[in-house]
Amino acid sequence: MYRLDSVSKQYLQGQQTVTALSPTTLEIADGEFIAIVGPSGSGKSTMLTLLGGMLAPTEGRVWFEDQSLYDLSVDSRAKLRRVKMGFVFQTFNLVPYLTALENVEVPLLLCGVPRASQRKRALELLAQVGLADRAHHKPSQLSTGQLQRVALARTIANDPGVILADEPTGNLDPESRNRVLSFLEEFHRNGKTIIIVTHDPEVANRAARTVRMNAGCVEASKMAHIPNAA
Amino acid sequence: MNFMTLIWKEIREKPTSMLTGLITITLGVAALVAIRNVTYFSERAVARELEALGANVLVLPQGVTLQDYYSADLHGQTMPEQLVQQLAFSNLEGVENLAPKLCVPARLKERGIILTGILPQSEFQAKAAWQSANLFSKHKGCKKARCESDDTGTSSLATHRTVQELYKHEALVGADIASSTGLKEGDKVQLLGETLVVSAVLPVMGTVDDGRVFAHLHTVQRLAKLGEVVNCIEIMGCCEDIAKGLVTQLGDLLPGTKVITIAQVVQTQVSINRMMQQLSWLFLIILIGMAGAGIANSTIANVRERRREIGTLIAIGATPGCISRLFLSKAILFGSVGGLMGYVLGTGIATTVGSQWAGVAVAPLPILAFIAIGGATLVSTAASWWPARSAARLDPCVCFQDA
Repeated sequence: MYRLDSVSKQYLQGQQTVTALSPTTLEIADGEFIAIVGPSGSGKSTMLTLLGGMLAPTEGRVWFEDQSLYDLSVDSRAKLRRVKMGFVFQTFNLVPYLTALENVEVPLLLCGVPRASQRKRALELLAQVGLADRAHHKPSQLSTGQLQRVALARTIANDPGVILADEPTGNLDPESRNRVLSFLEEFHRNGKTIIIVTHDPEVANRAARTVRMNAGCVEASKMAHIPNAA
Repeated sequence: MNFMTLIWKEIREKPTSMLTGLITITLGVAALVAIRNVTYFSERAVARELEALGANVLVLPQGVTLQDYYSADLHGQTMPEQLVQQLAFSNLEGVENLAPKLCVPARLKERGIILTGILPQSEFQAKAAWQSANLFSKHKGCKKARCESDDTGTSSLATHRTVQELYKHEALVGADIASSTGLKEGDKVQLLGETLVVSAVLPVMGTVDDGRVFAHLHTVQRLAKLGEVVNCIEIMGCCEDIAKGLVTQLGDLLPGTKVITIAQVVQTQVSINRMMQQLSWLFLIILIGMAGAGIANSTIANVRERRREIGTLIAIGATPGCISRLFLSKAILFGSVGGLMGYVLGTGIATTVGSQWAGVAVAPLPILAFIAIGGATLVSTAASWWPARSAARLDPCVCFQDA
């Protein structure tokens, strides 16, 4: 699914060049469940945004389904994200003035799905994450666990092949964390590729492979033991 | 859900954030509409007044100071009557009619009156026929509905400052004099030692002419022993030609005289109109400046506070065009609503206070609705263009940062 060929990313901070990601070569196969772990500032989020087609590398190429992601135009990459990628954020990033139902409808709207179909699909997804009764609640009326489940419903609205999750359990209580991870595992079982950034070892242990990063470098990539994998 | 739902929901969630911009647009447009509305009807009222006055150019002896249009001939100074012929056959475009006058004091039934000598139109026509000359050459491209009067009765003295026919032994009596002396058509009156026959009693004009007696110019000249002179020549000129420089041409043709247009008499009204017109332009600039700055400012603030939301939308597949559309659609909505509200408010102000403000009746002008809505939308959209563009170029990585 993904191939990173000597990809590096450097930022300019004033006069100083900061290396966020040292030249990295990495392959991620279709249907993998990968956890990218490491301390803060290790380049995890940079890696995720590079994979999401939102941050052009300074050097190297990011291949997604055999096409060089950053050789595509900004619009083409946006359209690719719409249908093939789903994002989960640590802070959920729901639109505050829309209801749970409308938040799930947003990716469908961007794909040009008719209104009636948007509603039907969004209701199905909310039911799938156990929030059918909260469809018309605004984010301010939901708990953090519920917020992340709405966000998960939004992520899979367009049935993407890959889910990129940035600390999806970072703000959750243990029960909500388990529930969210269970959903991600379920998506994985359904054939989706899951790439999750975390510094929570428990979350990392639920992934099939762990990529450890430190100071912008990939230190190790190893298969993890998954005790409760299906 | 569609894009408009997204925009509408955001506005409903935070109505105060955009209220300042909307109020600025509404007030700016309202001021513009109110001023334009009053100016338009005020200009029309002035134009109507000019038309109603009939003669709109006066030729007076040099040194006369004009105090009142209707008593412009009551100054005692004279100029040669020859000037009248010079004018009549000058072929100056825009001169439609002439009314020379000579005023002398007289007594009628023991009371002092003003005897005014006038030259009937028949005299001009007879002279023109005799000299095979063109009288009052028709001017080209006149847009006035009607340049020549078909009113040949005594009421034409009020509307066109002249009469078609007046014999040398006849007199026309003003309405006030007729009512105070009991004179009527066919009566005989003694004026400056000569008996004249009242050929008509003039209708009420509401001017000093109601207190005058009119007789043939040459009769008055003879009785007053003043020779072939006049006190003033009233000219009915086409307003458009006056604007194009008829007054200057008259001044060149008649050196040693003073040529005054009615425009100068109503100069105050005209200058108020001009001032209001300039004010409306000033308001237009203020509207563009203030509303534009207000809208740009609130759009920039809106983009800033929605950075995470914009980043999220980009992450889930919104193209830069989608993001721009979100902000520009909102600007169009605000511009059109502000423009419409401004039009309604401005028209309301103009119609309610217009009569007290400018002394004219003001009615709504639908064309201003299109200008107000179109202009406000244009300003609002232009002001939001840069913030919308910067939103579309926002780095979506902001959505990965912890709150």
